[in-house]
Amino acid sequence: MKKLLLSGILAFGLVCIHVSSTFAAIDQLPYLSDILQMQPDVSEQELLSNVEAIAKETGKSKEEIVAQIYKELKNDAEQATIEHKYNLNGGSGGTVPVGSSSKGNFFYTDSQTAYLNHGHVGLYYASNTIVESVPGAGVRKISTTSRLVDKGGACVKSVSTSLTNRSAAANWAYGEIGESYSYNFATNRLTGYNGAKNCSKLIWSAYKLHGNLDLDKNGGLGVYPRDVRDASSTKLVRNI
Amino acid sequence: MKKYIFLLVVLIAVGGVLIYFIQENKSVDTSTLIEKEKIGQKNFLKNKQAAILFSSTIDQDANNKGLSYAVFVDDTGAATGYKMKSLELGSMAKGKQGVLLVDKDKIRLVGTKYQEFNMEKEQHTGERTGYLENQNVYFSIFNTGVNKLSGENGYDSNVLFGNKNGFKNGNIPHYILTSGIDQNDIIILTNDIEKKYDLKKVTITKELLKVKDIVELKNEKSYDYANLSQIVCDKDFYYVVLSEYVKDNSENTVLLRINKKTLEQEKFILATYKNGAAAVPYNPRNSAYLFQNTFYYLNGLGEVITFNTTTNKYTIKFTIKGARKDGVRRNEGTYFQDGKLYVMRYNDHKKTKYFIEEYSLDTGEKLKVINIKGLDKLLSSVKKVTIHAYDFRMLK
Repeated sequence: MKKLLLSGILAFGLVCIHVSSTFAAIDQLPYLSDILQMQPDVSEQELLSNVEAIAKETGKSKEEIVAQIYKELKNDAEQATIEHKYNLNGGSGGTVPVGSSSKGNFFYTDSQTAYLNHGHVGLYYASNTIVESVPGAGVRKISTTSRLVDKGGACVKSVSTSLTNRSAAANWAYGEIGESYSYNFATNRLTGYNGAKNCSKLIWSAYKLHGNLDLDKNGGLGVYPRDVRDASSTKLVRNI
Repeated sequence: MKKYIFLLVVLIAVGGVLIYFIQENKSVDTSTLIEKEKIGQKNFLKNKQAAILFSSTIDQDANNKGLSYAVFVDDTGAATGYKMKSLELGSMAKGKQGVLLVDKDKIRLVGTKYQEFNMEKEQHTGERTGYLENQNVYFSIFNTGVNKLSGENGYDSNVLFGNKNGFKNGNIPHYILTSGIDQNDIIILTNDIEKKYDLKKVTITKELLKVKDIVELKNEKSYDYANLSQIVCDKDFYYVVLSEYVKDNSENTVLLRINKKTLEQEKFILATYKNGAAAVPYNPRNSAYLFQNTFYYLNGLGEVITFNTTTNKYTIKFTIKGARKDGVRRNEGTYFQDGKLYVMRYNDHKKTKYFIEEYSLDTGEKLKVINIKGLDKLLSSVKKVTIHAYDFRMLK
């Protein structure tokens, strides 16, 4: 009996050590460990370096910056819970082909990309071709009949700007095919237009560069897919 | 006494934590899994009547979290799955040496002798897997991605081809919209430049892969075309069904027919849809079939459209009963063989939720229903990622 108890205590100890070691390195700034937990593929070094750069640029303290990042991530996670469209158990409510739409439009779907249900957005390069940034492949193109999205909450939206801007934005995004994926949503508004990028950064950059539109609903440090979906200069084309 | 109560509480806590970790890491019900030892048996396919390939999409493959299952349905209808890494839009092929399974970094020959071949380069999206009987060559084409070294519109579709003696690497330097097999060649429709579509032939021998131009599609009105079917061929023509985008909420489903000799192109508008996405077939890579001078096409609304290749008349011949009209997919799949249509279906109200229906193409009559046992259990036990059926085929 004593041996059994001892083994139990040891096992518990091991579990505790495992859990605590995961968070041991992060104690410099408030919310840092929470942010990294919510974005596990972003390194502590990358996050700290972004926070420092933003602090320098804005004149705010690093503590203020991390607090803002945490608030945005938390708000996004809460919104995901409210919308409650994604089934975490993998049981599917079915899928739907994303279908065709006009060049320069974009689609939104709920998605577990990067562990959290950040959602996902992809841009219509042509009415039959989607350009999107996805983990694994980076920026890629795929046919609209082959791209399946989860049923529930998915939609196609247009951007209220000229045809020239819509076309130029789509062409710019197309030129980004081959760029790698970035897991950093938290500060992607302030990272460069070129290089690695996630789905919302791709579309936000395309319209920022071509039409000077800011497809970010809240103008925070991070542009999340829902920020693009809910930006004021977008209009619903159809629910998927 | 207090000491023992404390220790008991600790033990319960440890038990709880362990159960949590076990549940979190348990990805699938083991009773529906195929062990490597079993799939390696020579007679593995002997009692299997169908195969379905499931995979997660690429966006779920962060840190290799994606996965795929090759599910085999035996003669009693029982389904078991072989777990592999993910490959979005993956597909299978059956040939003399068994079934070829492909994931993102391995190809496997299953049936006569189990063989595994590692890929030199990881892939993330499939295009078509097939078998060329005359050459006894299996092939798998991937949607690889942009190749900026090949110029402004440079694009690579990597190919693996070979058989039990080994596989070679090849490349088709184009973005492929759709593809198909014409006897011993692969036919592809490429779309490297917006609104420009080219039909090409890919010839594969045991050693070499060559790409030859056939014809550029006429597109005077600069339409965008999306793939709705694979390319199928008879001795005189190439056939392909495409979605012609008119505007938001208006799409034509068109059948393109190209004469092999004269390269003359004909376009037939089969239907116009307000909700084009709902009409996208269950599997656009296996939605068309030629049989006895009739071209068959099954759309996403469950309508079997026929086109008489002699009279050019087309009609909706029959409709799959109870097919959804809103575009929602529950892992449905289609397969044509020997004048019959096989449809893998889902019905939430049935005890056995997944089943295969067999239809006569000649009469539209439903001939048989095969209930797939255990598939629902297997799929519902996959945690953290969602997987979709990307290919379905009968094996007998």
